[in-house]
Amino acid sequence: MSIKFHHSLSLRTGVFILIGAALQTLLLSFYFYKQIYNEQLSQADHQIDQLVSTIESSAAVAAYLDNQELAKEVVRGLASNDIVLASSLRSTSGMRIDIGDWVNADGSPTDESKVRHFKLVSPFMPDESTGEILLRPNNEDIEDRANTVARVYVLTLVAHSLGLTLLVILLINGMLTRPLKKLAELLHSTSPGSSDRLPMLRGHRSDEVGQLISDTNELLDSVQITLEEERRLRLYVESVEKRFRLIFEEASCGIALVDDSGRITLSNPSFDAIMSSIVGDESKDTLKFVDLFEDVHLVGELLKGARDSSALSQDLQLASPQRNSRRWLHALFSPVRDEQDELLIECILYDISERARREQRIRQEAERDSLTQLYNRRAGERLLEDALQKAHDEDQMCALMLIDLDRFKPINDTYGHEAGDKVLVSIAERMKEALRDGDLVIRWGGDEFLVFVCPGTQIASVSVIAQKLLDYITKPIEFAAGCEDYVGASIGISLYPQHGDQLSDLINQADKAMYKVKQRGRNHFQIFEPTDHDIGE
Amino acid sequence: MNKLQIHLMIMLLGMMLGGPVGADIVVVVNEKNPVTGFSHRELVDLYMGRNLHFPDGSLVYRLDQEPDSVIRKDFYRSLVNKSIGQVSAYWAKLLFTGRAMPPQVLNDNNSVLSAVRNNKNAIGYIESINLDNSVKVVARVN
Repeated sequence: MSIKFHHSLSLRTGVFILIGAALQTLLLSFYFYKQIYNEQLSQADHQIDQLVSTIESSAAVAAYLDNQELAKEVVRGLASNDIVLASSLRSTSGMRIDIGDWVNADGSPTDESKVRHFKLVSPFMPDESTGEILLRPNNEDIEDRANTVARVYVLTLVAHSLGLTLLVILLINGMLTRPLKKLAELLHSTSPGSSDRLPMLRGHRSDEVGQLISDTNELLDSVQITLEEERRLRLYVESVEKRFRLIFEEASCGIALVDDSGRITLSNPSFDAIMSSIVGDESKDTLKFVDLFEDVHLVGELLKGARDSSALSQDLQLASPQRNSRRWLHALFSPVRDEQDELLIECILYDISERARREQRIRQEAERDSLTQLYNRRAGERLLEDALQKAHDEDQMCALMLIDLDRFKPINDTYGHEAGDKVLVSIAERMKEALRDGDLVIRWGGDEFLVFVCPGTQIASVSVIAQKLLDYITKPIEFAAGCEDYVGASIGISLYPQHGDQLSDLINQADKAMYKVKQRGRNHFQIFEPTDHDIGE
Repeated sequence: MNKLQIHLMIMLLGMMLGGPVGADIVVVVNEKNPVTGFSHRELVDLYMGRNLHFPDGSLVYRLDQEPDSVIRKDFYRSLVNKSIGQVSAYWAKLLFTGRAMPPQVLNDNNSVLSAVRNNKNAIGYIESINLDNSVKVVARVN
């Protein structure tokens, strides 16, 4: 920013001083002009008085004696003065001597008011009037002269004022304005906080300008110190902030703030990644936090709880369109208040899918047969109990099939354990293939399986299923390159609720039926037929 | 010396030189002159040159005394309250006009007396102690 000339101090002080001086000079000139003019006029009057007084005695004698010569001498003497236009001496006895222009240029007589009269008395008898002197002052000349004198005086005054004004302007400019301007420019080009300082101006070391400079430098010192302190503090805050942001940005857990309306006001990249895995990149602004989870109601309750009390934690399942890619998160809710004292809920989400999977695997390892991945007998018994309870609750008809492989032992002995294992795995897969998802397939013993199906109310459909199982099982199995064989199966079946509602009874009955199949020549299925003996038990 | 002291000294000097101070001065004319008397003003006008004629129209022949004489000094002091010097200046001022002439100066009282006795139109002033019957007193000064 540079100061425009018409705004500069030097011009403005100069102009103000000039205006002030001009006004004062004008007023003074006006006043003095009048004063001096009048003074000159009265001085001229006085001069005339004096003039008359010098010839008064002669005039008195002339009037006393009616002495024309003396009178002429006197009157002529008077008229010879510049300030007298015409003069006259008149005696009481009738003598009259006129000299000068007693008539105007146009022939009219002199205005009586402009004529001055001086009484003459006898030189010997002071109480006797002997005549008078008449004078016509040269008003024009007097006024001209008064004008000239007044004008000269005013001109002198103006010149004096002008000189003084210029001197004052120069002094102010030199002593005050210029150093101030210089100071302003120096200060303007000084950037606060830098090590720039104002240089001392020559000749101003011990005056106010010098003091201003040294005070300004002190101020600049303290500004520099303050700014450096602030800069250091800002850098510190920035680095701390950067670290905090790093924690926030790089955290493996998802962090988000949820406001009163359930919207996500702040989220870190990990959280964003969780969000986009569920809803894609669509409007995250309108997305509600609860929509991210499978159990919307539970999450809503948790948010409310965190708002009312303190921190809460819960394992939650993420909402997901695909059933098999479900993710589990451990969520931590805690209330925080922001600068506007608005209550927000801080949510920290850890992906615990891996852990959940691991737990599932452990559970699976406990429940499943490691070779065929079918339920083992221990898990199977529990599942069968559950399934029976369910069938009871839903009033369903179910079938329990006990399957014993034929010809397994010879294959195992002939081709070895590996071939035997291969046969078992293949049979397990085929059975699962033959059955529906909800049906239970359990490895009951070495080459013994148990199947539990709830096909409806038709016994016929149980037979169909059993036949289908037989068909699937008896297909040839290639357990090594170019080496294949087949196994058969004996299936004993008991029905719920026709044959009983106790699992042990049903298993027993199926076992009996299977035994009958074996007796009849294997590779067949048999539904339990209660004998009298059995009923009696 | 202040003015008072000067006046006192002059008075003392006058007393020693000129006999009795304040002695009457009489204005006299020829016995045959018809004029009977003059007022103070008429006397002033006569002696200061304003009126140069007697009432009968004859020109006045005025007589004066010695410029340094006490009587002349006393006369003019009484007549117009002016000093001899002032009166001389008055006449000197008028001299150049050629129209006004000062009175004829004579040596003493006796010269004046004899001039008045011999000239019908003469007028003069003398100390009253010198007065005799050959002249007519027309005014008395002091």
